[in-house]
Amino acid sequence: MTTAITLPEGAPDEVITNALVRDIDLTPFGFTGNLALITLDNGHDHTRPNTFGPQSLVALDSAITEAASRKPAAIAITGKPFIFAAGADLSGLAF
Amino acid sequence: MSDRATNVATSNSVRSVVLVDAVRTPFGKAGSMYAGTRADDLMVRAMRGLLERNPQLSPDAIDDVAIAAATQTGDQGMNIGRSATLLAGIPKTVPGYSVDRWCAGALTATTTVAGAIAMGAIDIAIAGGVEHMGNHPMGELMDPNPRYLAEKLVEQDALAMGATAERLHDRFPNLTKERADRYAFNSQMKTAQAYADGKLQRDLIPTAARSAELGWGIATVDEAPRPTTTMEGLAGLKTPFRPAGRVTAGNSAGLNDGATAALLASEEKALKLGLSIKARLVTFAFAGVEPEVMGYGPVPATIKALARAGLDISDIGAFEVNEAFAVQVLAFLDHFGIADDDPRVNPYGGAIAVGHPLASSGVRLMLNLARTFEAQPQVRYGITTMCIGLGMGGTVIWENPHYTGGEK
Repeated sequence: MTTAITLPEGAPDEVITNALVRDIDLTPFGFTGNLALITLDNGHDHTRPNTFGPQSLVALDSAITEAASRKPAAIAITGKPFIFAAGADLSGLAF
Repeated sequence: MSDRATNVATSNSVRSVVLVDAVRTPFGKAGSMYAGTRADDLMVRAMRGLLERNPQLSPDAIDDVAIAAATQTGDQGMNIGRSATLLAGIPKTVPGYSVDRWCAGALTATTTVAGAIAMGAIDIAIAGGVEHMGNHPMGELMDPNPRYLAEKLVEQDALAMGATAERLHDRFPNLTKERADRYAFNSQMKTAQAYADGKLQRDLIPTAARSAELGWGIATVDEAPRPTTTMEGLAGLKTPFRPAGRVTAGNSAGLNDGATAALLASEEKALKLGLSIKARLVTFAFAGVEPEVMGYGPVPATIKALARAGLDISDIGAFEVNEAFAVQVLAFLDHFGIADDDPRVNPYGGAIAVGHPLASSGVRLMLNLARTFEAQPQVRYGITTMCIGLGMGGTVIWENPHYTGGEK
């Protein structure tokens, strides 16, 4: 999926929330197959929670596509330490 | 004598102390699978896993928490015993403290709370240990007093554990590199077999481990074991502590990250609450030796503990000996006339395979011994023993609560 969304002039660059996909073997928990675990992480600590702007949504979309393609027993989405996601990235709205 | 004084209850009777349960996190290689995980979070995970396995115990009934770490700064500082208790969500009314006896930290946390239970000051306690050797490399911030060397209080080798192991080889020339390698190989094979049989996984608490690059993961098994180890491979490893030495990365425990936690109680309280009883503490002893041969410590510690217990080495049917170095286990076995491959010794392998996160290892020995007791009701007594840097050994003697009589 390619999406070109341009932020308003003068708006700060989007802090992109990456979506990392990792296989978790469920055998030790008494199940078969893998859990595809998606971690949302913008690379900052908890004082800058995960947010979603255009590129972050693209990243999440492709992560879900990637996770599903692995034919997992389940897909789960989690956040970085202490933070799932705060919602939309509002930093560009003032511009 | 005042009325008040006469009313103070005093009792010199010693109460029976039992191991209710013990667990650990999977052990990682230093700074590898737990590179993005804090030491205190590992400790919290072990404690929570322990409580989740024992739902009959209300956390507010815990009287004290003793947690060991060899390096008590940063994420292992701030009184890790109290800090981990708060972070684990245990009620704030439950106190906690920290213990240090280097590698025997968790063993000492156990014996210390056991002493308090035995004399009746407390009924139930958590004892454990943690070491994140990735975050806290050995010797971090260590500042030995110059008198150590200036006045020759100890020899130069005393502060480098690998060098102390070479010194043990020197002292006992019959402890050859080939024997050490063979012992290490067997440790790897026993651990591989224990994993294949699902024996070790039972006491591992799955632990969330995050990597900034990969996202969250879950550690469910030890990272360090090398089931593909061969004698030829071991023979070819470098001897980093001495040119043409005998101590290698293959016949030593590695550098590791991990945490352990044990629940101890008076036998009376455990029975009252319906808690499991996995081992009964008989007695314990610590002993000192020359720091430059610290690996010999388990020998005098065990002699002392056996004497206190009125037992003979032949009464011991199960041994959990920490494997800091193969040579140190062999020195112990030779002293007591036990074969290198005696099936009573470390049946699930040991630290050479699964790793040795310093202060946490004592409880790992206990949980393995508890499994042996469960599987072998004909065994009455077992010991957990380990060597300790700066020249010490510690030994705890346990009685099998499942003992059914018959042979020892």
